[in-house]
Amino acid sequence: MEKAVYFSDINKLRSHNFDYDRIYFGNEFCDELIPSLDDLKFAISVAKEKNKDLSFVTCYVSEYKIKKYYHLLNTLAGLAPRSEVIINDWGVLGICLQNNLTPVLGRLLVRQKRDPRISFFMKLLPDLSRLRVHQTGLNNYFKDFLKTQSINRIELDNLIQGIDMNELQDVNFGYSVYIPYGYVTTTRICFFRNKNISKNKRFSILPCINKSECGLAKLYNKQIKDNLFMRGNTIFFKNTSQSFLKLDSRINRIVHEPEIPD
Amino acid sequence: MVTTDKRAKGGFFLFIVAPISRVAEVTSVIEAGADEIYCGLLVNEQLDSYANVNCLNRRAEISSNLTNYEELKEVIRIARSKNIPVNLTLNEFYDQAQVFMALRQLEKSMECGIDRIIVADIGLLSEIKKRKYPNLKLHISSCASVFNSETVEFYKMFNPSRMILNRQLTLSEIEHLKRSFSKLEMEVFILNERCYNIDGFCTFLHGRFSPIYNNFTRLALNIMQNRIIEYIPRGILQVLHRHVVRNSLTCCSPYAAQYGLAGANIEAGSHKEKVVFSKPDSFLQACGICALYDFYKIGLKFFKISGRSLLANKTADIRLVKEAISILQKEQLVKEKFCIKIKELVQQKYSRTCSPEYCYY
Repeated sequence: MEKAVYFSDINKLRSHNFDYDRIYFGNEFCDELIPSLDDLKFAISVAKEKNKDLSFVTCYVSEYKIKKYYHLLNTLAGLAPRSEVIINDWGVLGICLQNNLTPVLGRLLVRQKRDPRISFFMKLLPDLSRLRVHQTGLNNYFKDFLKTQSINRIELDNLIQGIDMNELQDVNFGYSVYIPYGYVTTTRICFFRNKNISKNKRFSILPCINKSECGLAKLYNKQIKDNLFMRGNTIFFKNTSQSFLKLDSRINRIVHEPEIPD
Repeated sequence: MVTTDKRAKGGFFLFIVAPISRVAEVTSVIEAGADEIYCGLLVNEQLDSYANVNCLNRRAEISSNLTNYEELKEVIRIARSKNIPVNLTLNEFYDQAQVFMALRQLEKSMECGIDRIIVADIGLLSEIKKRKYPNLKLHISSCASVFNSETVEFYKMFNPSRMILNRQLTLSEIEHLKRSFSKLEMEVFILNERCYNIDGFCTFLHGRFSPIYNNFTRLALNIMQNRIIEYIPRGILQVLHRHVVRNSLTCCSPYAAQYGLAGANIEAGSHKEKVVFSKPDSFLQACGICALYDFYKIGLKFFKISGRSLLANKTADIRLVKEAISILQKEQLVKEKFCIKIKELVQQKYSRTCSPEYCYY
């Protein structure tokens, strides 16, 4: 089992004492937080110095920010050509392949059912539905397509209701699981960006003005008492169970998140 | 073959793409001014197998869907007689069993006369391309999460005739995409159901259910999900809809948030509390009509009214957009004056004050 550790903040990467085989660095959810070229170079140098492999994490990205990835992936290809690129926007896949880097299907493009309420009413669901909520939601036509795009690894979240291991026997793919935080949903209407502006603009998509205010919140209501967190523009659940490790499957990488990713 | 495409090529015809969920609605929706209609099909096989968890078209309620192929055939017959195209939604992401269901539904629907579908799943797109249906037009769903021109390029490998743009794009981003792909049809949302989250990335269950139903929620859900909805007066329906949205869709539920700055220990001390989300009004009354002005200038022609389940509003919504288009094309106003006119129109039609809080763009 390969162990990876995921940092979205370069400062955390600087200070970490590594006991892992691979470093994940980058951002999955907010194109305002795409790393600078200097930060990427630093991550590459840390990986080389510690003799670790590097996976560069990319996000869904607007028209005005995608240009950053042209430079970043070109630099990555030059300095660390064996690196992986975690793809969460199909548009970034083309840039990755042009640079002969190794693409990995990121968790935003995998349609697991992550709603934390599912475990409450599992018993009420018909059989196919109950099976579906444990699965990746990737059909074989989709997987065949991934092969044509040189994608051999798929990234998953550690579902509260559990992952269907039978589905993951496909020898063509390796699977990674992120722990302990899984994403549930994401938006470009950032609560933390908009929380102090007038009610009229609260639902607007606005450029980030202070990245250090990218906040963290615990969400709760009558239905969900704990276990739901909002970090910046994205909502996460937390699941520390590692029951999937006991079972035979193609999961051969764990991606540890020391904290909720930005 | 219906003639939307010919009209789209000639001049500045703007198309209203409107939802239907009943055969009985087709004529009234077209008479109100719809230029294209779209619908979903929820047959018993799917409902029994997947309940609310993963409907083939993201609307798990009977009230939002046609329920058999005979209805679909009839919808197509009526629409064709008035020269109006019908788009079928197959816009969910499918597991192995479901992708077969989706392909079966597609082929049976094509036998009924469907020649354009709305798709998001890469596996389904890929298989459709392989099977080479010569007369089938593909519309890439807003759930495909297109935010940049590289992603449009990616989807072009499936030969789509139209991209339905994500709700969470800004006007300037839409303009950029349209100018970069001037020959590709692009469709944008213009009214209703603006979601707080990104459709294609959201993994909250899209169906309406709650583990803590009380009797009123149960009753409201039963009404909203079944065809009894047709007999409920509009005012009551809106109250029920608001209640259901607030109490059974996780993403629209009211949440309190304890929050601090990044890195702070949220379990310990000095938090602020604030209710977030919980904006059913903003969700239901979302409106982008003022942006018609900008869309018209950049050559966008297809405008989607969301809300297959919003039975009572459909014709009124279409008339509102139709009238706005007419003002736009006939009166040649500057944007500020156009927006003032639209506000007056909304006030007049819906007896509510227009607010920027409801603005799509």
